[in-house]
Amino acid sequence: MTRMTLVQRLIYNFFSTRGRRMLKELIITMCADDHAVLTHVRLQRVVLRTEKYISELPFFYFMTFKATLYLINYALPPLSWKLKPFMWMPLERRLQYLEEWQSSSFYYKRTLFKMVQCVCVSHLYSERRLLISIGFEKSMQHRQQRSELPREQQ
Amino acid sequence: MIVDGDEVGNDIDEHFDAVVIGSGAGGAVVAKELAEGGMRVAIIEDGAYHKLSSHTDLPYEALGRLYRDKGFTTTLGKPAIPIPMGRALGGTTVINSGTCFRTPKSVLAHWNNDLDLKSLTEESFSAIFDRVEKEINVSEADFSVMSRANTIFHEILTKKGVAGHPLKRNIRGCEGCGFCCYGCPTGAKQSMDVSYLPKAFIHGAKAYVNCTFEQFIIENNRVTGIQANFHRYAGANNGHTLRIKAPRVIMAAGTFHTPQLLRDCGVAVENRNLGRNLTLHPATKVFARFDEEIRGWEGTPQAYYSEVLKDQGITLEGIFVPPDIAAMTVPFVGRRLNEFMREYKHMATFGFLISDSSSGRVMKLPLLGTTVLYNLNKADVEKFRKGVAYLARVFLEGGATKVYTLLHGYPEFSTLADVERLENGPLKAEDIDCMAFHPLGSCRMGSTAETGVVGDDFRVYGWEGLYICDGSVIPSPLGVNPQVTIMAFATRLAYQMLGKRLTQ
Repeated sequence: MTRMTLVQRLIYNFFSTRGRRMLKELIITMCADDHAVLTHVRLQRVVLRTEKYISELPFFYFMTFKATLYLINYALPPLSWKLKPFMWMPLERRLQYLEEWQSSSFYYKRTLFKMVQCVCVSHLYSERRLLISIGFEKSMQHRQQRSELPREQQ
Repeated sequence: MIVDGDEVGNDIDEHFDAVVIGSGAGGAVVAKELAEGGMRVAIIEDGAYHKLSSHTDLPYEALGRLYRDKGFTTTLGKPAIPIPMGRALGGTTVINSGTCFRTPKSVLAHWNNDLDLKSLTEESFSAIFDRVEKEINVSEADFSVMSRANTIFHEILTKKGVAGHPLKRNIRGCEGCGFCCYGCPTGAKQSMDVSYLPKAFIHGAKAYVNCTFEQFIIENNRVTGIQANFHRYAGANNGHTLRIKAPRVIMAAGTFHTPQLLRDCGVAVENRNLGRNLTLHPATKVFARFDEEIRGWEGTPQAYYSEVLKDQGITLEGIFVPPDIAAMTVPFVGRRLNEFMREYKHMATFGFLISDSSSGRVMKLPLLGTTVLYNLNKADVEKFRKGVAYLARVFLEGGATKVYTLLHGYPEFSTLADVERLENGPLKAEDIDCMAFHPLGSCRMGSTAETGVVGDDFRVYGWEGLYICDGSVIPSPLGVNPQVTIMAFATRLAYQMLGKRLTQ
């Protein structure tokens, strides 16, 4: 179990709820603001859950995630350089910008983006209604039936 | 009996015949065998005990509850490789796919002949494998509960005249719900928490969960016990300690943590093998889109394998992940991600692991804590190229309309010409998006202190009363899933401690 120093705890507390709008815009862009996806998703819940997950990560990963979030939003050198922050870009420009991160020839840029993508997308696709909409209903029912059984039969 | 650190309200001081740190494939087995043999045994587990009914179908919940670092454990190097590790009573066996292989004969021969580990003979393991397989009910996966992703690969291989076989798994009445990696909800998978540990408890073993190992009690180069701290379920220290005196201390904290815990306690630090020689069995998969609905999530996700590339150090194994996990692994965002996920019911996947010649080291870094430095060498990169090209070729020849890979620069193939482009094109270690599930060898067994951290009696060189029994002692990569080998090593250690011999 990793013990946190007081300074680390303060940094956690300061950053854990910051960047929520960035996170939300990033998640929306990850699914291209597609109505067919977002209609099955309670976006605020996904954002809060993602934020909670990040805030419980070990300190190094937490800081790396937050730093990457800011790097993506403000397009800071040396990883990228854009005049307009990510949140102010129109959707098509955002998608193009994220693809630049994803397919970058610079390995570390790609890896940082992969980390952010993994966390955001896995929380988005944890929404039951979205999973059911892509045909995952049988397995969800299987689980639901089990959870309705009396404890001793589970 | 389970003592939960979340509920402990006072310091505890106890005496046992043996104390085991860790409750995974190594720790649980040695604890049960020793308890059954009449010893008083304590088990220390950092994670919590999770009842079957508490297992969830949602990845973020499972990652938070059952995985170390919330599933974020990753190596440093090229490429960065995520390594999912369990943190619960039962260790990684709670979240693995339940695949069981005996140690390959060629590997045993290598240990015996090349590494001079003369006691590790095929004959000496035969009765041990039988016992382990009986305990966890190892049986061949049934085609009737196999995921279609596995059976379609079987059909294509059969048409090509290539041999493949159902995997052996430690299951009892598997319904094929496909949630193995979130903790088996039905108890069908015979992970340690449902197989070995209950038997250990029947024979009087005591497990302290939510309890973090702190240090050894050392008297004149002899380890005579351990000290640990209880913590709350959420992770905060609850202020109470556990002190156990025992003449036998067995480290089974896993390949990542065992060497670092030893180093933190100043034990075996002079041994240059401590924390080194780490191998991972890096693995990747390809997705193949078929016109028919595959619905690969229905049925056992890992149930079929082929050794067609075995001589090249590649083992092909079936794998299918639920859509929520798949979404985070595919190299797409935006509309392409949406399209991929809508098509996911048409996707089959198959993967492979490589017997790696690269090696890494476990170390502690500021802010990061215990971590691993590991770089894939050129020979292993070539194995990835061959493995991905082979699978892509098999799927395209078998009727797939498209194949998606996790290699940078080669995201999708529609024709065999695309596969040739991979076969002849550039590929670097950092272009490979892979995972690893079998860290081994960081405290490897060796015939002398110059070649290993422990001898073939599992005792740490230069120390009395201290033994290691987890994946870290495996002397070289196996090329197959290691849980049965680890359990066999643990059984061997227990019988050695009891002064008994297991015969057929």
